[in-house]
Amino acid sequence: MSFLPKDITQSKAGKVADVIDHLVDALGGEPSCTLRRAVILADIDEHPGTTQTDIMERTGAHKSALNRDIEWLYDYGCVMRQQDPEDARAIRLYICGYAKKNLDHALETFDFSHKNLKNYLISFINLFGSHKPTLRDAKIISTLGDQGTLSKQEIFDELYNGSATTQNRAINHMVDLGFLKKRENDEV
Amino acid sequence: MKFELDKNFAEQFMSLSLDSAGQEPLRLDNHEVIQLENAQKPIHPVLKSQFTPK
Repeated sequence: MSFLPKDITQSKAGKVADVIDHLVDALGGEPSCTLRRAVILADIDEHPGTTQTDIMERTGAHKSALNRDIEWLYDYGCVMRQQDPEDARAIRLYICGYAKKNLDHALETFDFSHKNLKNYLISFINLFGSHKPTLRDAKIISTLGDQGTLSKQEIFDELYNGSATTQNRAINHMVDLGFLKKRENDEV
Repeated sequence: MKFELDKNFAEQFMSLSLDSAGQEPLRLDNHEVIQLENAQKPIHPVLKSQFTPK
């Protein structure tokens, strides 16, 4: 497997913005997907043939939430399920092709360490407190972390295909939560 | 009108490390404990309000 050399001049926030792009591609091109689903996808990739119980034990995810997350990953074609031939009750989980390819691109920034990627994402999630961040939220934060101050249109330009209403709501919600600040005196 | 990260939030975001060598794997669904026990800096005011009984 070969990748282009890393851009060593890129800022850490810029690298994170690129990682989020790869995660969106890995997660069905859906920027509304939560960051925690990226953690679960990375865990499944690290442990091919894992079961839901194993994921719960390793990640500490609650059963009901994990059920929904795995169902989502399956519906979006990110993972496949196979019945264990030796234990009919056990369903084994595997990451699918395009999700694997794009997750590998994300892992490049973390020296191909699943633990590094998962720990980073969980720490990032924890910054948001009780708000469950989406990949879109993470992209907004990392873009502003990289580029400093931007107009709403400039932020939109960095985001993914989605309605202006959805993108606007994401920005306004993060302003309401206090993560972003408006600078009223700047011209657009 | 322009937007920027809140200063405290930006500091916490930029302090996240891409390399967690020597660190235990973190766990999902227990963010309150991690935030309160491992916080090196004062908790972000918004987060703090979420952890303070109303």
